[in-house]
Amino acid sequence: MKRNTLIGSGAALAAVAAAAVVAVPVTAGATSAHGAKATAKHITVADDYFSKSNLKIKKGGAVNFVWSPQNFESHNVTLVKGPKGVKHGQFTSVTGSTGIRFKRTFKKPGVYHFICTIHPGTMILTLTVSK
Amino acid sequence: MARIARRCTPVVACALLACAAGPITAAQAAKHKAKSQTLVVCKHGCRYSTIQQAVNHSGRKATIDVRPGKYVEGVFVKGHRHDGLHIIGIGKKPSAVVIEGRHAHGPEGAAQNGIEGDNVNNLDLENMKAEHFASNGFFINGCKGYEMKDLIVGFNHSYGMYVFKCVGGRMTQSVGYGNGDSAFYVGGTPFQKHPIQTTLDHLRGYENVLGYSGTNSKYVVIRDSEFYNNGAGIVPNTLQSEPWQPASSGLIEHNLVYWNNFDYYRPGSPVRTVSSGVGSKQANYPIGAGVMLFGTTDWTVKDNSIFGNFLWGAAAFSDPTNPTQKAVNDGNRFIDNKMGGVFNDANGADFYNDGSGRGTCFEGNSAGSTFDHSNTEPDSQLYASCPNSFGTGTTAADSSQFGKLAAIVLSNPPTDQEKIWHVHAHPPRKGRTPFEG
Repeated sequence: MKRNTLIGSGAALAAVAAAAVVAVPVTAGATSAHGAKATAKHITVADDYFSKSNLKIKKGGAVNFVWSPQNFESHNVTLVKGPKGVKHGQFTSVTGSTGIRFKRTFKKPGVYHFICTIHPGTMILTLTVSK
Repeated sequence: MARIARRCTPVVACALLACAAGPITAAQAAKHKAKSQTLVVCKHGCRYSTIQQAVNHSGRKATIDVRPGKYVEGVFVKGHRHDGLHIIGIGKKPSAVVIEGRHAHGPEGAAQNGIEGDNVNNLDLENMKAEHFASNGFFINGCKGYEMKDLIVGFNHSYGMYVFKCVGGRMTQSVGYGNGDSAFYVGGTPFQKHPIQTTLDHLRGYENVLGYSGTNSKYVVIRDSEFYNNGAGIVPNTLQSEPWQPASSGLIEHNLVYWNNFDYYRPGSPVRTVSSGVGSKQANYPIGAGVMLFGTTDWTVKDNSIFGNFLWGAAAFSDPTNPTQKAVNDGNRFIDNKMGGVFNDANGADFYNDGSGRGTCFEGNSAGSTFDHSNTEPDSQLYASCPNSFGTGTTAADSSQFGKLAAIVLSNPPTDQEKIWHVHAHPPRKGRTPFEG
């Protein structure tokens, strides 16, 4: 059972505040498909949301998913729909609460739809990779 | 090379014997081999020194015997090629085989679970202990059937024993303590036309945030178990964040549910709380409650012994903030329970009902049971006998009752919840000591 949501506004405030605390916008660099140093975008995986629901990056860019240390529930990042030819398993993380860092580089342009399979109602991310 | 030859020789011999005995198909041979496969794990002198190595070499219906020792690893069992796998500690007691989470690493950071089954049917886990994991002690994600037996789970970050998206299964004869959410958790259960029951029995959960929790769980029977010294004892619940709302069609019977007054909000608590996040207006779990039905439909709480919980013995309420409006206190029944007075160990109030939903009822509970009264609605409606058609019919609660609940979950600091507890000394129980944090 996650944090109680009896009081919607309170829970929403908490969620916003939590996102503000844990979501660092940009972190480590990543190597692009062409060998150039690219900036990895940072997504926090928290109870029960991704810190962003939409994200745009350029081809060769990377996304670094980092599980919040404040989590008490298990989450994963699972690719449910992506560009043709992309292997979903390569863009699917393990399931867990804390201490996970999952970084992937996106070489193929298109739209990637991610969810947490345990919390598909609230943990949804659409990633658009442009050419 | 010699080692390889030694390994191959029995295989060749077996093949020759099979030929001599008569025709046997490749499928039959494979089936026979799988049935008889036993792999042994030990720290020194066995073919496998980690459980993961043995899992990697196991097939369907294999048995992995784990000899006593401490195994610092997170074991991952993936896919139906492991259906029917039985992993058993072969020590004299569960604590002889320890799967340790401290300093255990996985492919993407910290090892998350002692043993995780991912889309494996009929995985059996037996006679082991898992502790200090970043997520859970034992976790099965997606299955038809499982058995978790004679397990100990302690001080795992989230849950001790956790299943999600499973049809049927059993947790039995196990103990959980110090877990950051619940000791035992049955998560989202798919709707079933012909339901297969999940059984939890002969469990003991103490000094956890929750003894049992289950979001959107269904067809669950929790019986003959003991939940004490938790923040709250048994808490099935409905949340929109997870699939298959609501939590429905469950039975809680013949359990001992007492002294669930663990205030893990206190500074220095040995168990970290789920409510340690930021935000001054966050809603916190109620503490001091035996059974809480949070947004459940058609759950029956029957013939339990519920006493010494300083807030409520048993409670039922909706979640009006759930945007799907599926977390409704509908058709829950509290029947034939023995409450605090029977044990000379009162609950704050034996029963609390928020007056939402429809038809939640109370019947045959011990004489002298106490009720958390509303200022606006008579007990004859709020705590009506079965069956009845009282209630708002929606997630909206009786205003007086909702006010109480809101005050509890918004207590700031959350330790202020203790201010409305009915604190008293408990009669002694052999082998048990009250623990409040």
